[in-house]
Amino acid sequence: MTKEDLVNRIWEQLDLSKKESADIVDQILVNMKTVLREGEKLKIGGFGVFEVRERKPRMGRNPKTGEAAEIKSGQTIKFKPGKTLRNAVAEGK
Amino acid sequence: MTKSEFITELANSVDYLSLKEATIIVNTFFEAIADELISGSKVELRGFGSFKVKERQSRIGRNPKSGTKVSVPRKKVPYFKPGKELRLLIDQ
Repeated sequence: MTKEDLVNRIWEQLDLSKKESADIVDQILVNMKTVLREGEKLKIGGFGVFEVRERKPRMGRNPKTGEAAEIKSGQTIKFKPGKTLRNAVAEGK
Repeated sequence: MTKSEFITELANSVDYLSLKEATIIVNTFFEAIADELISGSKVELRGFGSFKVKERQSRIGRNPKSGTKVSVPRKKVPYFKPGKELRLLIDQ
């Protein structure tokens, strides 16, 4: 599924043009990014929680050369699926 | 931020959307992604990231209370991989 399929799902639900539906999907993604960029958690009931987590520095390897390289600390996004979604995906229904 | 706050935000961001429409849209958005994952497919959102299902192998775990070994069966779990644009935005 791509963004276009998501746009179509929304377009089918409401009396909106394709352009408006596409703009709204983009706006949803922009708003999600804004929330996370501010370091705030985003909790979507039944779906899951998106949050910003600290990534600890660790040693990794360059997969091409095999050389050891430090992976720096930083911020990353963690998605924790909600119970409803986890169960539905596990059961496939 | 909760889902209802997120819905209010969306209604504020898009001037022609009522709160009721924003509710339907946000619910449809996440339901569509969930449906796709439940059917085992993935969802790719350019610049944001992708949602997919990962298969976890069965393993021997332990009951954290009693310490007895239990076999944890193989299972499918939803997974989100942030896209490059989102990763760079967050990691600053």
